[in-house]
Amino acid sequence: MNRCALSLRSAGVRRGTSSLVVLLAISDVIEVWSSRRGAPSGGGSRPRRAALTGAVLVGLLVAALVASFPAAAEAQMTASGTFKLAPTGREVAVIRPHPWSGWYWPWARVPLAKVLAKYDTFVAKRTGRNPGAAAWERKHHRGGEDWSGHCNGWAAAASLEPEPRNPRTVDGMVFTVGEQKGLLSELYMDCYHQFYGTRCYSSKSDPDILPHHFHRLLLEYMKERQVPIVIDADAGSPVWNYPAYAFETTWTTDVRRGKAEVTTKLYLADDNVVADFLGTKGLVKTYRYTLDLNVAGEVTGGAWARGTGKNHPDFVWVPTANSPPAGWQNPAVEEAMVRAIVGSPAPPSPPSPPPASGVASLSRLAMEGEPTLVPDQAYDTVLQEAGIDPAQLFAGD
Amino acid sequence: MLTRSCRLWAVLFMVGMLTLSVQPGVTAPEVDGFMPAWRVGDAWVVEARYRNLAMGEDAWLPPIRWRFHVRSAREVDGEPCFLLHVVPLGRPDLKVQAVLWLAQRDLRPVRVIDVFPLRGVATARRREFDPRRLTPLFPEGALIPYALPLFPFAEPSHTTGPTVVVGEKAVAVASTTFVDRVSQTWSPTPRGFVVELDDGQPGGGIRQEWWKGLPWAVSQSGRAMEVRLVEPAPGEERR
Repeated sequence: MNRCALSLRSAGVRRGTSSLVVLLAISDVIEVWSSRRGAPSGGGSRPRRAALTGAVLVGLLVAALVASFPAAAEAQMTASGTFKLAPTGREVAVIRPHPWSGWYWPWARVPLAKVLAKYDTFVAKRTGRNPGAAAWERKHHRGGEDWSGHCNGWAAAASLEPEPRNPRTVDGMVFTVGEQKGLLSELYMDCYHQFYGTRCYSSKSDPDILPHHFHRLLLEYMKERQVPIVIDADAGSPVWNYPAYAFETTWTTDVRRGKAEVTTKLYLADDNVVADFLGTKGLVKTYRYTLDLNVAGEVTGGAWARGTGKNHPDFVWVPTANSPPAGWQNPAVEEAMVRAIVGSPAPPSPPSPPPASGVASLSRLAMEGEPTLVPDQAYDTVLQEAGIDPAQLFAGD
Repeated sequence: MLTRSCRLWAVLFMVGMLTLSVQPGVTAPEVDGFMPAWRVGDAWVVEARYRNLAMGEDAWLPPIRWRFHVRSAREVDGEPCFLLHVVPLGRPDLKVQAVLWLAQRDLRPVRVIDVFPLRGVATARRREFDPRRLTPLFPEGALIPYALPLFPFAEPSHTTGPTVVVGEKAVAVASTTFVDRVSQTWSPTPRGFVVELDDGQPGGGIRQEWWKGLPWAVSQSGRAMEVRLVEPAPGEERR
């Protein structure tokens, strides 16, 4: 939310409820964690001493209230109407349902080819043709580094798709949970995403993501949007992608230095599991960094803490939507077939065209640009799903 | 027979009509500088290609075409605004859209709703903009290429170099406010202006080329994506 008078009002409402949300979230983190493992000096008159004593007591009371409601103390309003980072604070977010754990299907020995051979048989039974997915996999998704695999496809699928939780029998063929997860991991090898940072290809080049950017992504995606981020946990050239399902960040502000010392625990879904694993196996990474603050307590920069070496993410990305194959994804694996196997609904087909109406120029553009004509109603249905009434929204003055 | 003077006026009239016919619904006010002029009902399409940056600088994902449609005009706190609705052409299933409230006087951002899928369900996120603090519009994590500079662009009067505006963008996220240095640099070209926008984010800056008479930048380049206006097509492509 950009800073302005209007946004302060709405933020104030939200902040009133944030302490409860934070407390609930803290309990969630604990659940996740456990499932894994003086008197004034003399010299004044009596009334003055009494006043001083009263002031001290009020101060202690305020301090106690602030200490017992850290979330309420996270932000203070300055006289100018801007937010100021509190002396100490904590932010917590837990995403439910968590991204699910799944094997990363390494390229070495191409274990996914066995699943894809089964997929080929399934498709051949349905269509009469063998798509050749297993053959493509053996030719293209093999070798590489010893860490090479499908971790990016798994991370995206685990963030965007419901977890396959039961074996499924389709057309007389049984697909295990692991096989379904493997197919989804292949399907998402190419996907639309937002990318933050620079992938490291060698030990000396490419800057890693900066901590104030990392911190903002945690708050913006995980806290505000409830969207998992994916990190490359290795700041060197290997890539280990993990989707995050929770974080807990605490800070202490040093106003004199204009710094906030931050410790963030990031809870990641692990891929070091057997293929048929169910649920989320947690992996916790702890990062320490400083945030640079201006005089208003606003974050202007940051640095990873000294002595922590390369213990920070290389880059961060956020899967947005699946895309057609673009080079990294096995082109013989069709989304419709995978969805038939895992039982997830296919992307909705456009509804039947409504009665002729709307904007003439828009219809013309739609006909020129779209592979198939999609009526405007289909887009407005998405707005309605997001809680927006298009008729009210776009009603003119 | 027409007199020589009449013929001259007739030619000028035809040239004028021809000029208007290739700029439907769009005018660029020259007095105060350049900015695209929109009317309710205007629509255009851009095509965005996305770099698959996790796979390298030369890896690309299939393009998405985005339709921009000026669907209505409403006031926000006394500020007359256009409501610009942006959708992925032919792909409502992506569930990614945006509604931008842009001030009619200079297209400054007033309010933005980003729609995105959250575990398959369309979800909305709303941003409000400080009326006292002008800033270019940045997508802030949205897939849609709706970055928009501050208008109008004025021709430099005393220097031949680019015009630079530097400011700050403050974004409050949860309990923390992040301040980024924002810069906008523009230079005139024979057809319009080239503008560079940077908000200090990891995605890096972007460069847009605007032509007079077109409703949106004819091209945009940056680290994460490349964008081009496909409808209405710029002049060369029409020919």
